[in-house]
Amino acid sequence: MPNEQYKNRALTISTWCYRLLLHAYPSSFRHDFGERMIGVFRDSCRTALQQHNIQALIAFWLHTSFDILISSCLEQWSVVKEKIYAMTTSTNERQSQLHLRVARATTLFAFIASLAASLHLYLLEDASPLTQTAYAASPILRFSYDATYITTLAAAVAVCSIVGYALLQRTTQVAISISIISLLIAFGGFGGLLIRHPMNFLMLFSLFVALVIISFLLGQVVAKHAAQRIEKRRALMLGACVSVGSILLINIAALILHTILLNPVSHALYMQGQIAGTHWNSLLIAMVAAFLAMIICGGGLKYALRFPALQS
Amino acid sequence: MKNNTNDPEALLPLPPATFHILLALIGEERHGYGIMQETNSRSEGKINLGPGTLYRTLKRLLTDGLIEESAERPVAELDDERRHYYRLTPFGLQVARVEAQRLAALVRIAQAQQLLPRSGIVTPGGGA
Repeated sequence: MPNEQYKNRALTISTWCYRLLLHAYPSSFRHDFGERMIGVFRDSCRTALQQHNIQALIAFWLHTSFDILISSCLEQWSVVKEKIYAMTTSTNERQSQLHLRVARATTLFAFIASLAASLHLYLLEDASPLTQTAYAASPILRFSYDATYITTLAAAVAVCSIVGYALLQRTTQVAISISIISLLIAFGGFGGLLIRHPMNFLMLFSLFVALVIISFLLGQVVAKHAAQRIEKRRALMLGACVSVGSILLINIAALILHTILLNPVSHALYMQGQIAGTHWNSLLIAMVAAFLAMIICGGGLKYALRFPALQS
Repeated sequence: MKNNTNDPEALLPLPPATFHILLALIGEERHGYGIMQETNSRSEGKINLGPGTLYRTLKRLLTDGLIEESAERPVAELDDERRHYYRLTPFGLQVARVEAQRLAALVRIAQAQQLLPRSGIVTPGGGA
């Protein structure tokens, strides 16, 4: 009987010590499994004491101490790893958000600048009785004007796709919406030509559709690449920003070409009185503004496409 | 983190202690101490899990969806309400099966290299 009391006391003290040593484990692990571990320890300790003798307790404690040392270190390490992972993921999340914001802001800024410059050009030339004469004299002038107009409309469609990816979940839904918007913009923008000049309409429409499709595909390629590093929806929006940027690049090239051809110095007779006869006329200012906005957009997209490295 | 891939191959190779725990749970629900005893007995004392290692492994198996806690209790006189019972999930069984196949393939290679006799029955002394 005294031996039994001795064993019981040894069991109680061992369990108390084990409970104390459990503090080597992370608190979450201790909270979830602490009591269960104490239960298993108590059972094992009781078996060791009953089947063998008190000397067996020393061997049992050696084994248990080694187990605590190894498993607590490993568990603490996994908690540290989880924290590092969570921290890295959250940093990457913030970075990718910032990259996308920069891309959207610079793209929108460049679009607004190009739209303003193109509208200004349209309002000046469309209202001028001399426009047709000038176009008849210079096919390049006509081409650059049409290119500016068509690319502005196509850029507007691409901007809608950024909004589409922000609002809709699926690429298919966005593609359908963009197709409908493209038709509305095309017919709203130059639908009148269908009756007056059907051939011109067909040519412009083909150019417009080609621009929209090519820019959309380019955006998809960029999005596919970006999706390996950032969340899919953000990658799609980034791809749409690149679509807008690519169209605006053509737009600004056409605008520059047109403005140079219209330069009052080389076309002194054209639009006399409507465009100021100096280098500082409104068309030049609008072109330079759109060009600078395009450079900012390019810089923004370049920054946005430098993705933060993700923790694997 | 729950295992989202549902690909058993992604979890291989299993550490020996983990595989022994899965084997101990095939066809029977067990509590922590029961698992410890079973693995010890199956491995002829070679796998002697301490409570820390046992519950670290059980935590990972629960997270990966290989085992789950069982709500069923044994008959009242055999039950200890402090005990938690674990059982294998279908995915856990699948993982154990794939790991067994992997080990069997290794044995076949060892047999081909004449490290093991063709019968594959190995005695503790190393003979057939």
